[in-house]
Amino acid sequence: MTTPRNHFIISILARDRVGIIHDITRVIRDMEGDLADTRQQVLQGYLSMILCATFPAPVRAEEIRSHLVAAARQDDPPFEVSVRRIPAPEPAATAPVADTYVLTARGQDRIGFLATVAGFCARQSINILDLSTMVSDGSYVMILLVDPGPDSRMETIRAAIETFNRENDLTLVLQHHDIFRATNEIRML
Amino acid sequence: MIRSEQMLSTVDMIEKENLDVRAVTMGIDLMDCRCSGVTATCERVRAKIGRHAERLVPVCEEISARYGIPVVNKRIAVTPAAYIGAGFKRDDFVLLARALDSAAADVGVDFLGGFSANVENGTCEAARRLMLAMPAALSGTGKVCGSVNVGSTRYGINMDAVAVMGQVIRDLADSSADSGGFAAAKLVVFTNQPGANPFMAGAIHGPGQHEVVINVGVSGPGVIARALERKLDTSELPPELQELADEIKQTAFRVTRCGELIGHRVASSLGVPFGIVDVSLAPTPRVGDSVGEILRIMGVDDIGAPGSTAIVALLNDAVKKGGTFASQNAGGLSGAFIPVCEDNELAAAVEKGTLVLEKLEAMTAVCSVGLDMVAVPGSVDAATLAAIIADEMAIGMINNKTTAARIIPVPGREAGEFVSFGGLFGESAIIQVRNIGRSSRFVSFGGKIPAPLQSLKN
Repeated sequence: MTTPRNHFIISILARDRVGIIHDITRVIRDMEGDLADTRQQVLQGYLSMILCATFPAPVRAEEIRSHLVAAARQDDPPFEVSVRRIPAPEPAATAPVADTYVLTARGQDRIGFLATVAGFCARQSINILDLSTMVSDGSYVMILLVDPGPDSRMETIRAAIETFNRENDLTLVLQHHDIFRATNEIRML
Repeated sequence: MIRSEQMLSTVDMIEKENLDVRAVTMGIDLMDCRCSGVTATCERVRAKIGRHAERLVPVCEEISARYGIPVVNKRIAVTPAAYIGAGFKRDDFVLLARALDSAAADVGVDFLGGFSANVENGTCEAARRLMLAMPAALSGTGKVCGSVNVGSTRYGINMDAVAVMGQVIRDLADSSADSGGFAAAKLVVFTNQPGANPFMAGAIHGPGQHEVVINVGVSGPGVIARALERKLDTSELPPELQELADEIKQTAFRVTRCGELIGHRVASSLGVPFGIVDVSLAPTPRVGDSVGEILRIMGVDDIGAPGSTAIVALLNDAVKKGGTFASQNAGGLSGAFIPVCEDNELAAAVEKGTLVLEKLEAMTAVCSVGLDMVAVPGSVDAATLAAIIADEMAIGMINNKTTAARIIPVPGREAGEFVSFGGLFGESAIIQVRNIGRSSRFVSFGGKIPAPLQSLKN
């Protein structure tokens, strides 16, 4: 009989260097952790990683955390690690995947830019799935992958965007994700 | 994974560079609407168009809202009316045009094309009556567009029909003198007319097509112009022409993909097959949506200067290459249009006198359509109009390509004066026609120009 396994979500913040992913994943392997989805990004020389993994039942969250913290080399600033046990994810939903959209926001860089846009999304019940921001040519650019909900809401949302753009010094544009795939990928959808 | 800069450039294409789907055109076969009397036939025509096209406009609007891409025109193309009305009298064809007009109004489309006939190898009685009905039919309706295919590479040019069309255009212009001869803008004379083409005024649903189909015309000269400007701005060394051609190709790919996506979604939502994407650069009078501007960016200071024809050739070919790779079924006219009134830079070049009729004609030998939306003086007689058409048709016949003539004699106005047709039809100075009245002996011979040889191509 196989050992039961528990699901964990792990987040790590560390200064980026050559070999850091190896040091982190080696620890997980040695604890018999099995990785599922992972994401990592590097900004300003710092790496942020989020991992889903399963470990054999006796392994506890604190144990995983302390092993990962110990993976830092002497000259590394300490790793900031948090680990949380989560319920086993539901099997893949059979419902059709909702249409995803890309919301871009552009304007002068200023404090509260992201909060303003996120506030708009929250008021319109637009779920943000992914977001990245950058400074380009003196203006601040946000690209959000969003799920605006059912098609029937599209008219209301587009009207709200128009009002928002009139009342704010930044510009929102909402477009279907398929447009970006169609215009940037060789294969037709 | 699509990178951020790709996303932003796609957003700019739509928001700032006038990318749109220029036309979603539903083709409907009306052959089975023919019955014994004209009244009953008209009723069946209206009913069938209503049945199939009822949801066209709302579905286009819904898809347009979902994807955030404007669908500028919703249109219908039908079986050429000469087939539907064979055996009708001239006045019956006028009634048929009115039925088509009210059917188009019922479903809320912008235009309906197909008041048309094919006389490439000779004029049958039905086609003759339809052509004679055109002045009353097109000037008495709002949405109906007509076209006549007077020649082809296979059969040559039907010069009898060309002469008739010269007169028809004159009559159309005269009958709409108060709107600058606008009724003539709803009529195109073709050689090698494509049977499936979403663009007006030459859209038809020719023989050998589906029962009902969705065809799409894309556009985006503004997108190409901005892409070329960026290329010139960001290149360390001045780019060579093949690099500019490649930029056009890649941009045409992206533009076409939007049309392909919208077309497929509209067709599947309506439950009808998707036909073709017409991969064209169709300008509008809006600033920044001009094919003429592309010519200037590509190195002629004035449109019409030597080099203009070569640039149009490069542009037309690059658009086709990028577009055909992007689409499962490219068709229609596919290429660069140079409609004078509809393109503010071409119109300005006519006003300035740098673009003359003869140079425009040369450019049409390598563009995708022909002499399109060209306003000429009201004093140009029918025979001279026919001779201008014959020249344009000869270019298409010999080069195995589509050419078209959409010429508008503006009643009571002379070269250099101004005419405005409003909206997407635009405005222009009236172009000078030299040697007016010097071609009537040629036109009066009649008969046909024989089909050209397909070998010894020099």
